Amino acid sequence: MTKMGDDFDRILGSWFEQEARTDGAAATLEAALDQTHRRRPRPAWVARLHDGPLRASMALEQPAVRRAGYLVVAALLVAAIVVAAMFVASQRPPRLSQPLACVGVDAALCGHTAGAWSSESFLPGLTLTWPDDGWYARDLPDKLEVKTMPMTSSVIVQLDPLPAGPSSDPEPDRAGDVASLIRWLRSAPGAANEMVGQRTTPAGLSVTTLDVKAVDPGIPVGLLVARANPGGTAIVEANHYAQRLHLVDLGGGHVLSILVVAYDSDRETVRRTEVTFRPILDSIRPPAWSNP
Amino acid sequence: MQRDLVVRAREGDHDAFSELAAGSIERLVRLARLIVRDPDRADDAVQDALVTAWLDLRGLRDPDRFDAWMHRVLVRSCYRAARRERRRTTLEVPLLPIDAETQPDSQHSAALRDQIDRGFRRLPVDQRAVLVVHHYLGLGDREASEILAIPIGTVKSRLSRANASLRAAIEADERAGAPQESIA
Repeated sequence: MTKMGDDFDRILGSWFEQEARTDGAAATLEAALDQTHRRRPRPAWVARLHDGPLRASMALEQPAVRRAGYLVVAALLVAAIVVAAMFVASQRPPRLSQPLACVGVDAALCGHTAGAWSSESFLPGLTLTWPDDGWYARDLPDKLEVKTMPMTSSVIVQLDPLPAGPSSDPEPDRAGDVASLIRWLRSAPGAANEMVGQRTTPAGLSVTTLDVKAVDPGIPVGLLVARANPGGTAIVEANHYAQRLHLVDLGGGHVLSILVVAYDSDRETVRRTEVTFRPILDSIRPPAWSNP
Repeated sequence: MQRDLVVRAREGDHDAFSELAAGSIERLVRLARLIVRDPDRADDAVQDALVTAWLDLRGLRDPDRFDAWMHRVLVRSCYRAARRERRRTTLEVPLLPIDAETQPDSQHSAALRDQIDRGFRRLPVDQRAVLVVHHYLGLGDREASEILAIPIGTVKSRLSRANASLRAAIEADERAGAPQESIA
């Protein structure tokens, strides 16, 4: 060993050269590229959480501490941004969209930017807040119809429904409060329903939710008609496609029926639509019921 | 040329990344096999390092530092591979063919290789890494500190410990009489 002495570096370097083999490198490369091809790079700020800057002072012995430090800083920044956003939002008056230029135009849906919006035709004074741009609405005297892309679903809002009756004839003498509507829907012949739940919106409105469909997909069943037009066609009809009905007690003796429809018959579409629509539902402010 | 590839890869160009990886693969495999001392796990470490590099490349601020950054990513992968190795260690010692013609010189050098190999395997992975970076890549303390992500002072002390440990291991191997032929 003594002869190794001063030659140690040279001998070790030479040993490394002899030992450094690369057989199979191509297969390793191929396997790695196969994985990377299927994955997307992380954003820079996320990548930097995984790997600190290239400088000498970063100690490998403390990666957990360093990572935890980054995470704490990131969490504090996010919290600060959220608090600031909430503060700014609370200070800013609600943004009102432009009056609907296309109210009443046949089949026209008007695009709306984010912000609060007040119905002028369907229920003057009813306020909704669009959480995002890209919503389309049609404000008609008898209903409010809202959509977002893609147009495979629809949300239809109607006022004061009444039970349609077993023969599809309106029965205006039936009560139109939420409890009696639910009793009727649960017993309606030819229609199946599944109770989803009850809750109260942040605005204090009581919402009862159930899914409705026809027992026989080929035979639609009228379930609810509009009080304003009891002899007209059903505003809620059990059908072959997936639908979810929210009954909202608006106060002042009024009930909103909000029907989420999946035109592609897919329950997942209903679920997605409802998730997107829920902030709007939760933002509903009824008009002052000075003249119920 | 490489800078251009790094810039493109950082922007999500997978072809550019493939080209970069192809240009580095042999060097990375050599490094990993030296540090990990197990070809399969070393190849896993290289694969892991390349995937990590692709995912985190946007975190690399200076495209000119790609090689150093890639080495650091690889060293970390090697550490992970070595940790896995510790859980299920098997000692694999390459054997000379028994019918190989043996000359005194080749016997001597084979014995020396074996001694170094046994000594090197006994070192902790962080000491193996510092020896490889210093003796094989030929990097100075500053560059080594970047790749190993430790302060320069730690590079020096770790390198000193690694050298001493390797010498001690080889001497112990010699004293134990295996192999019988001395390196002298």
